[in-house]
Amino acid sequence: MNTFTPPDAAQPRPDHASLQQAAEWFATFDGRRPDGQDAAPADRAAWQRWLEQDPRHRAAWAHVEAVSADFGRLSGSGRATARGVIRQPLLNPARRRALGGLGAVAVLGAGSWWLTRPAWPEADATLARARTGLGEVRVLALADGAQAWLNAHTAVVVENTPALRLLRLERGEVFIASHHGGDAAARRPLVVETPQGRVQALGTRFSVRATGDGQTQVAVFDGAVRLTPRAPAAGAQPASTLQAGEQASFDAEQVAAAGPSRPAREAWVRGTLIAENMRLDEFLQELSQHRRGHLGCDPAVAGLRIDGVFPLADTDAVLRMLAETLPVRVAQTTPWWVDVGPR
Amino acid sequence: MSSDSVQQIYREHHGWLHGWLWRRLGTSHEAEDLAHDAFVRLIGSGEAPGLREPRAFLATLAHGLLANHWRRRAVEKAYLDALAAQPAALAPSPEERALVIEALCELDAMLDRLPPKARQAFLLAQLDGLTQAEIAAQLGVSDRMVRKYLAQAMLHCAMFKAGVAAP
Repeated sequence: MNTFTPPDAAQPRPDHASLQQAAEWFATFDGRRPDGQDAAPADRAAWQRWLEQDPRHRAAWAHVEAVSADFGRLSGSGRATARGVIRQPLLNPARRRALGGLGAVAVLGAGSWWLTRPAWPEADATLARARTGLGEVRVLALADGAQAWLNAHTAVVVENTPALRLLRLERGEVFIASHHGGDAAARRPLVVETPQGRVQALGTRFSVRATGDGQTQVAVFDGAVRLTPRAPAAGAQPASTLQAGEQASFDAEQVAAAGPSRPAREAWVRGTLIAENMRLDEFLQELSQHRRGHLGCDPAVAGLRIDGVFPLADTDAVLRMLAETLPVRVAQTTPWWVDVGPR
Repeated sequence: MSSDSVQQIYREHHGWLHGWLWRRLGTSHEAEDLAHDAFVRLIGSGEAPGLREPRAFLATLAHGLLANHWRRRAVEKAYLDALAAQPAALAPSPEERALVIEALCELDAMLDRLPPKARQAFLLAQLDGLTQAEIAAQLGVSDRMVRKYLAQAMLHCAMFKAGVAAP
């Protein structure tokens, strides 16, 4: 699902100094997106000034993004094995023997399970981590037949014990399909946990999303779930049940009132973004999870509303549709630097 | 670029090149593939008309092709070995495998000659998404050192992609 476009041939060639600066900027952001929410505003501003200073700076940054995109190609089903392979310096057989082969990178210190982690967790893994990157939507088989879809930029930790199937959502969004009816009593409880609390499946299909503002958002499409905030405020209910067709957010203390579940929270599983009277800035924020590069929204148009069904695999087409149906201009400075603003 | 000169070189030296490669590769089929690639490179070089020692030139081209070939074989073998250790139900399709091997070969070329510590730090960042603090803890070095490694690694790779040499 990676729609990354390589550096534009029409761009100036970056010089060594620009590449050096771009590499320093890469190190400054420490894995965060420069234009994302968790980047320090002062850094982002300085970086943007640097970008605008000289066309070779943008060209250099484009190559930095291209490098990360190359690593991104090792995401996706069946490819995680490959990630173990690239860790070995292949042309030095002596070194490879010293390192003891695939996965056992002794130099880095054994004992941290995530260094020798399985490629993608087995359904009955006791403890495992799964992550998706840009534009990736992957399904994870859970114990007892349930399934979890991970949206782009999502990280979860799977913990199975004899009493419980636990999925800890560290960031992003998961969509769970557990089974209902039959011998539900024989199946272990299935719980999604976030810093705000727990969401227990009661035979259901539902989405749990870390919205990044200290809230967890839950949308139910079938069956029901039980929400348990971690530290309920005095007087607030310790737990609430959310039924099919409902959606609610909760923080560590309480559950906010429920509204109707938005189809968008189910549609990404099928590679589609559904907008129902959705704000443009929210829409672009979701779209940017599936597209490499910068996707900016001018405040002047952020509140415009969108309706429609859009393919997440072809974000270029989605941007063209926006330009045709809304009073906006989609300015593409480079293929991966896009600003949406007023016409 | 005269195709006559290439044709003449082909007539006179293709058989020799094929045998030369066969001895190094072990199969006639692979030797034929690489010999073909060598002649494609010969044409692309534009040097054919003026060559005084065509065999030496062809051998030089072939050396480069052989190095790439062995490299690619090492990548394939490591990957297939790793796959073999996995349950068959998770096996990727042949198309998927080919794409992965392609991606691996490019990454391998890009990371070539990157010093080992910088490479380790960079892979922890790019493949595992670890923060600099986490990488520092893993490698037993300071945060500052990790930042230096990451900048160094990214510069190395970005220069490779941009086709820019060190000043």
